[in-house]
Amino acid sequence: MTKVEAGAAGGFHRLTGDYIPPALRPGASPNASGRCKREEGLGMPAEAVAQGAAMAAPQSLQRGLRRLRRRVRALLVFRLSSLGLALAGGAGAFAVLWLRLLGRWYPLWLPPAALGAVLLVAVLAAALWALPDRTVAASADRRLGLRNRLGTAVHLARRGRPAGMEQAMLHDALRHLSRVRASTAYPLRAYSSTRAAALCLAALILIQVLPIPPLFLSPQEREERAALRLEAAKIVPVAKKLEQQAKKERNAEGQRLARRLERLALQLQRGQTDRKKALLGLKALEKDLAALEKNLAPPPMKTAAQAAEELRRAASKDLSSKARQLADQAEKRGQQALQRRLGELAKKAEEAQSATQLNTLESQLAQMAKELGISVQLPPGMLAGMSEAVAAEDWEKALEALAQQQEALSKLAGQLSEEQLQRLAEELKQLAEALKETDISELSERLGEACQALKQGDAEKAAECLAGALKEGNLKAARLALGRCAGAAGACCTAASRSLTGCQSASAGVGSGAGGTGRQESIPPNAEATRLYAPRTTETEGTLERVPGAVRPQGPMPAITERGAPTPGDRSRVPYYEVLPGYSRAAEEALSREEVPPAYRSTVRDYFNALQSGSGHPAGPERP
Amino acid sequence: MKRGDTTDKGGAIVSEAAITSREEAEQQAARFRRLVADLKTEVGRVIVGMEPVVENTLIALLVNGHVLLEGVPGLGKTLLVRTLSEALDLKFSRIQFTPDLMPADITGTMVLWEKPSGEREFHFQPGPIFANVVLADEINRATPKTQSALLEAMQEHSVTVAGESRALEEPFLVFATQNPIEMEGTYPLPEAQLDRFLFKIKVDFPSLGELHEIMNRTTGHLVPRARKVATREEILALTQVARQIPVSEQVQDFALRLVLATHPDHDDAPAGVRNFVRYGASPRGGQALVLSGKVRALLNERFNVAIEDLKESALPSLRHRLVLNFEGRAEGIDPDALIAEAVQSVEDKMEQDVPV
Repeated sequence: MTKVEAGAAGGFHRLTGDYIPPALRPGASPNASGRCKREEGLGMPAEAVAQGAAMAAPQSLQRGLRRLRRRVRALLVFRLSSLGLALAGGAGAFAVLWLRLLGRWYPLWLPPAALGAVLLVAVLAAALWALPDRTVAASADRRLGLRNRLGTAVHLARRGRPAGMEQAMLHDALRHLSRVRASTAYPLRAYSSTRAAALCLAALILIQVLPIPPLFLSPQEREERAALRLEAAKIVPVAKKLEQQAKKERNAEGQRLARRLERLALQLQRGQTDRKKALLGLKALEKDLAALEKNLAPPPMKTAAQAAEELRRAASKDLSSKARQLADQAEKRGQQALQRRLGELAKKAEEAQSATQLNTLESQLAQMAKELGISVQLPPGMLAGMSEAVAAEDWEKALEALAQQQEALSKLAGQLSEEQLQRLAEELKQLAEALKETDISELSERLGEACQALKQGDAEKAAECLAGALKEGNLKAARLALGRCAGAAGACCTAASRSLTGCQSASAGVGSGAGGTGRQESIPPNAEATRLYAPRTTETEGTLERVPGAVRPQGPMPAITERGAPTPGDRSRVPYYEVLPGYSRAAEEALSREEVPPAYRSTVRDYFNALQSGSGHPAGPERP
Repeated sequence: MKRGDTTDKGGAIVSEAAITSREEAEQQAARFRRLVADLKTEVGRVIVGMEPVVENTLIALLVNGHVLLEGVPGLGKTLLVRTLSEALDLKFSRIQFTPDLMPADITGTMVLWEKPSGEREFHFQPGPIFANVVLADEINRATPKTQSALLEAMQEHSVTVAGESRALEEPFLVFATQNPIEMEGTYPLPEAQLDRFLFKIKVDFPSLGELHEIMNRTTGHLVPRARKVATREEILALTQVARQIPVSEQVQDFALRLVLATHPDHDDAPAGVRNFVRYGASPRGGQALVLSGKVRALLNERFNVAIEDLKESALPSLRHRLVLNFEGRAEGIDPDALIAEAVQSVEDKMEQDVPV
């Protein structure tokens, strides 16, 4: 019995059965890892070791081939995915292009979902791809120039106990297999299908994103696009203003809405969206902007015009009173002419109908006071100025007028006479009264406090109160300005929606299914009638019904073939909210021309109101 | 079945020379390569160039196959065979084939023999065929009758004279030569005879450099001689070693498909074969491919036959087995081109790879 002498020729691990290449054999190199144990001196007979090695060889071979197979499968996934994506991407690009050119609707999630499904199929196909040992071995032999070593080894491994020469062959094959790197045999590379997939996907994305060139558009579509561009041009400045205001106010919601609005406008400008989507976007924005406006600037109980009128009356009364007092002083000083002029001015002040007039009179009064030798320390015409600003709902200007007063009051805190303080207190009281229940009603409380302070002769405290009022007012004014901007933007959206709804769609022939109207066969080609009764031709999935015309003295109306209301389970092809404006307008026009019997007018109006508010009973699809 | 051979459970003969362990296999393979290298060196002392011819001749020797050497006179065919036999310490005999050569001149004949006692009896006088290496020079000059005297010897390694079969000593190798240009008065070898040759080797004219070397070696006062590097027993043992090289199913499939592709009526036959071949290679062609492939594998330090080995052996193994039709002969089609086409066709069909 000879002892085992493994030497540096390589062999199999006694315990694991792994093939150990010569370089890793014990004694072959000082840094030989602990993976292999020294077999010398184990006392095993050579035949037994040879037999063990022969039995272990197939396992090692299997392990090595499994490693290669894993790599092949991974590359198969890559290649099949590439192929699938190229085919699906190409087909998808054509389909999307076709749909876009025809103006047909398709769900945006469909292309990515289809690509995802293709990827899944590719992974499954790769996982189920038959890769027997023989194929993998032959492939690796060919790729690595192993001269059929692995193929022969696989062949021998299936044949049970190998003879001496076969053992040597297996040993040689495993020695080569242990040196093989899967990535060398099967490198990752860009297949032609990978390049095609990249191209197709890029094409698909571009087709989805880029606008259809005008060359491919019908005159109607070009017209529609021009209309969209026109609306976009109107929306852009509004959106920019809203964004600026929102930034100033640091209102995140406002900024978000402004960005949405700008994006929509950009899409409209570039022709990246069609009328239908634009309408949906505008409607959604309109709703959100209205909510923002309501949140920032709720409708006041008292209108600005009412407040302005009150202020004007107070200013008129105040000016008249001042003029009369000065007239009395002029009389005391024997200045008859001045007294007369002041009297006339007082009369004019009482009759003044506008803040501008009052301002002019206030200036004249200040001039006359100077002539009398009375200095006017406080800035004149606060009430009149306020009235003018409030009438224009220019809260910033109103606050500016108040700021002037506050500044003067701070400066002249100890110099003002009792009478001047009382007069100012009176002015502030009137201002507070006028501003109550307006958009800036928060100011009235502070103004009241200032008024009380002035009455007590505490000008400094009054100035502080005014400063507080100004601060609050500024905040409120900014919010109001943002609210107004949002309102303006909403209005702009509404206007754009109306304008776009009026624009005939390029994709005529598609309409609502909720109303149950359908193609009209025998109606004479009367454009007015068509516009009135069928703003847009509809197609539902309902069944065709022949509706007989009513019998009139002139004869029976022609019969109309209707596509009836959808039966349960049917879905209209176009959401009702898109066609609703057309129907609503037609109904309004019919009502205004008294084409609807008086008894039914309120019913018709209620019906459309209910639809517009979104709570209508017709069970159409909800707006997204 | 030789002495010492056994049979396994299935009744197959297990040679005494069967290798049982890897180490032994590696030792035998190393010995094999060493011996062939020595042989090449010794032959190279005498023969200038002709490396492919020498290699193919050695391969035929190691699988115990006969060789038909084709080339114009004076290229060293006879010298090659003689040198080989000298290096191998084998019994060599040369038969110059002429039209008047009779079969008995080859196989031997019964002669009347007088014993010292005066009694007379027929005694068998062996012919030149009774040697290890037989050089059948200009074999196509003998009549078919005489040529056919070799048939039994080449296939069965035995000779039957006067109803008695006499075994030839192993190894028995016939190295025949023929001149492709002097066709006047020749008798082309019949297909059955050709098929018995393992290889048909074409001996090409040497290059200028080789001619210079030939002149230098043969016109000086020193005549190079080959030394003996292997005995008959060693050659027989190495023949057994080569036969134990495993062949995978795929490689064997390639060999057999290639043989079938030389048949004009086979589906895999390429256009050239369909158009110009009357009969394709016999199963002996497949055997020649695989056996020579085994020796090539060992020489290339492998323990398995590769398709490349078969491709290298395809021309010498198959070129003499193709029988061209009238069109092929008329067009002067070279069987080598048809074989190359068949090899390519089979390779294309067997291309087995994963699609990554």
